[in-house]
Amino acid sequence: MPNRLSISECIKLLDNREIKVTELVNAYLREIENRDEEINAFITVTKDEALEKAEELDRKGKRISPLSGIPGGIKDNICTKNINTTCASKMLKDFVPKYSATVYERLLDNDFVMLGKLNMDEFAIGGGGEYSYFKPVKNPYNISHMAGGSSSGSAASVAAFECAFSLGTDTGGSILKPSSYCGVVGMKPTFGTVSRYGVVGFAPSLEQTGPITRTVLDNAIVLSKIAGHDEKDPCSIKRDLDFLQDIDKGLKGLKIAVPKELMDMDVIQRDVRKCYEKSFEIFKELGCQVDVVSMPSLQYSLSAYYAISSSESASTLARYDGIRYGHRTKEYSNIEELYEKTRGEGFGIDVKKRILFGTFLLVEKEKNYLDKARKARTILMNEYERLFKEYSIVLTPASPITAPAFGEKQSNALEKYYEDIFTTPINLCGIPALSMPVCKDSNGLPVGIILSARHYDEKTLYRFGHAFEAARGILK
Amino acid sequence: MKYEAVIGLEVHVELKTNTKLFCGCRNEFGKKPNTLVCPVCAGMPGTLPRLNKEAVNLAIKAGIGLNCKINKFSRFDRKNYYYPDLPKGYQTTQYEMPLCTDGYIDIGGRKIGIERIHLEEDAGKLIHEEDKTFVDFNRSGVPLIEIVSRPDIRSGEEAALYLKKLRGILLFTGVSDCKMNEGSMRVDVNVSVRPKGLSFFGAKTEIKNINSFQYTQEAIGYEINRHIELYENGKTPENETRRYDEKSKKTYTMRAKEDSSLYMYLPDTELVPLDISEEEIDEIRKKMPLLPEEREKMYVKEHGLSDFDCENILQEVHFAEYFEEAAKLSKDAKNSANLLITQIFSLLESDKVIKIKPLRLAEVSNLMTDEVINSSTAKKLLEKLWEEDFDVENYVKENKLFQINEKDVLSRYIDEAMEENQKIVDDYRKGKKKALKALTGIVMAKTRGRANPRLLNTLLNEKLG
Ligand SMILES: [Zn+2]
Repeated sequence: MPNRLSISECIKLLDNREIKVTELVNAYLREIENRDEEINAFITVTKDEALEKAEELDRKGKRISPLSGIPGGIKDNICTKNINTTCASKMLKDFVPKYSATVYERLLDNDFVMLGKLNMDEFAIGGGGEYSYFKPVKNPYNISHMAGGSSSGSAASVAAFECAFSLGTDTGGSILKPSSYCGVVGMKPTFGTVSRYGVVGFAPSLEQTGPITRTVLDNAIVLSKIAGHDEKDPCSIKRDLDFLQDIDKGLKGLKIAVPKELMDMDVIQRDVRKCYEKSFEIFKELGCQVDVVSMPSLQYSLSAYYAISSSESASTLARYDGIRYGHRTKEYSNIEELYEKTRGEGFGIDVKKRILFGTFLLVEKEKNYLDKARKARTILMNEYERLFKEYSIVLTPASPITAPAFGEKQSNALEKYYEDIFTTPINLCGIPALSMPVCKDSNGLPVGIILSARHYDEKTLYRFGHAFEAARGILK
Repeated sequence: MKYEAVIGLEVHVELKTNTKLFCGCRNEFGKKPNTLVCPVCAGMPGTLPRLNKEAVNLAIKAGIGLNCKINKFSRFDRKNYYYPDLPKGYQTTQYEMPLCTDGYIDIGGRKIGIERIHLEEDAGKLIHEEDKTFVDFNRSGVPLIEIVSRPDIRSGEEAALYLKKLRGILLFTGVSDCKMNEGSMRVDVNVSVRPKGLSFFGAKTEIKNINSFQYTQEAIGYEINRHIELYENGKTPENETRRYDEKSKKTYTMRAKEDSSLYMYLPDTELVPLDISEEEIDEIRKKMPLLPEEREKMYVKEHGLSDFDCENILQEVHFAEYFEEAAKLSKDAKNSANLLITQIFSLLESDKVIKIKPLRLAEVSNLMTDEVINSSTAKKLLEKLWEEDFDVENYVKENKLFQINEKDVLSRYIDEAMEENQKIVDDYRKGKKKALKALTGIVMAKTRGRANPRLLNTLLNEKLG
């Protein structure tokens, strides 16, 4: 089963001509065919294009990049020229862009093989993977559980061996959380590392695109190929792309910070806490020092995140008005009605909630919610900065819970909201973070941790992750 | 009771850039609808703006020309509202932190304050045809600056003066072509009236999209009187938006004034804040062309031009450049200016292109100065040069257009004319002084317009006694 191999293993086989690209691609396509009907990770499978590309690469023989011939999937909010890009929304269900996101072009330039477009929460808003207009994404470890979101298809497809890697996008944990629910490795790079041109977002000050893979090394390989300055994205940064540089250096003498405030939270499930604490032991065995530190401002991060992301979404999603493209209501007698009905019909419930909340914040000017949120953001950044002077990484659980079951009534909206407690500070501060599995809970669902580091220090995250992965062993 | 008007102007000006503010589409007027559009300026999903540095530099130029403080740090915001010509559902503008602040325009001794200049993008245009409405996005994303004056203007005349000065500065800095008919300059006016000496503001009316400086002046005049009349009758004007009707010369209610706090504004985080260095600003400052006021001073001091001359020549940048070029080659620049304004400008067509080389104007002017030709020959030559270019001196030689400066030659023509027109001579001698002009004309015609006018005048006077 070549689709069970890691990217780094595939690279060796492809380099040595021990396997054909066509065989590799066929293995993945078979897996999609067999399994995706229940997982729902894909919205569009580009089977013919994938086979054609594989044959072309086999004919050519020459591998121009480590990613040459490696099959991957793309989250459906990343524009792919001439291929449906739906954002899992009724609003864009027939939208076919005439342009590509820079990050997709980079993959094409590296001769990757495109398998298709991955399911997600509508417009990347939502955390469970159940808010797709088309179908809910199911957790490959247990299909009665969610995959997490919003990059639900991206995480589930990799976990189900339907892709060697995938691209997801992360605004408030949308890569990190589903990766942990599905037991795979997800990276949210430093803000500005991967071009956002052509990525349909909703909160530009928070968003990044990143890879999801089955191993840490694979993840670093993919990031190396998609990162880099792009003049089409004003927030894109010129920086070192040294992600693989320290990956084998080991962890002797490095210091890890564990925020006391998060550890004390009673929303954390018992199994999650157990796995989290187990990760301390593994890191200590690898020669690290684990210190409990205080980050008092973490308590503001959820409110600040929701204020900023919602207000930005109210504005960013305004362009879906039925005038130029996308869904337009059938009957209307004036322009106001056209807007109301188009947007009323085109958007799902979670997107509407976010827009309404954001609009409320923008209209209620006297209360200064947004100013307060921005202040909290600055304070939080300062807190991280202070910590990273002494510590290489901050270690937290990926989520207080493991993947919830469908239909499981969450006791209240607030509990759902707390799912993002560990991820939102990362997006608010633009720092890089790696989500990876530690072990499984009593139901056999994966439990993950998140390592975050100072800006531009993905190489340290990969160093920690790689060592941890080797010590932890394969997740069984 | 004495009243005082408080007037502020908001002027939108399209920048003369090659490309749009946030994408690579060409910035041109009058092209076929939706031919200058790309995914970015059509607001397609996932596209991102990319700031055009040329637009920023032009806005800085405007700021320097209008004596503003150029803010090293400024930011783009989104102004959210729904309209079919607004592809993103918001206009990218500068709300909280504009690029330029605190400038002024001197309108002949009085300084009218400029509160701010900010950069923003234009919207597309709706085209209505029968029962259908189409949207043309060619203008979507065209760079604009909005120049907001302080409420320092007191009359329609002052407003027109302010606009004229503003237009001159923007034209001569190359910031905009300021064509009101093409919409590259748009004027909104805020008017209120209060009892003189008091500092509160009265009810404010806004008059939108006025088509010319003349109409602006008229609209303000009308509005001031309307307000005063209402106050005199114990009423107060509404806070509202009005439009000016050019035919009836009156303003009419359009709608109640929008409350600007209803707009949703938020920082545009797709763009990084503008961070402009002192060096960049200095670089632009160094390259600033001479502004109309500085040119006027130079014309008066170096060439002896009148206010009237200056005003005419400084109407357009290419007029000024033309004059300056001709002046360099002229023995008497004032004479060249006269020829330019009285002769050449009367030949202009609507495109305002001057079809004579500045060198030729100087050649004609110099022949006049040297008394080789007279003014009526000069006029004929310029008309001829408008049709085709030629070497003026050769042409004058070949066609024997020299001025007749010889006393005896001219005397002969005069004698002939007097003999043939005894009645006019008699009229003159009876006291009809106008007859002199008629005789002058007759002699001029006989000489094919070549008589030295001064000599002719002296000789005629002598002979008529
Ligand atoms: Zn464009």
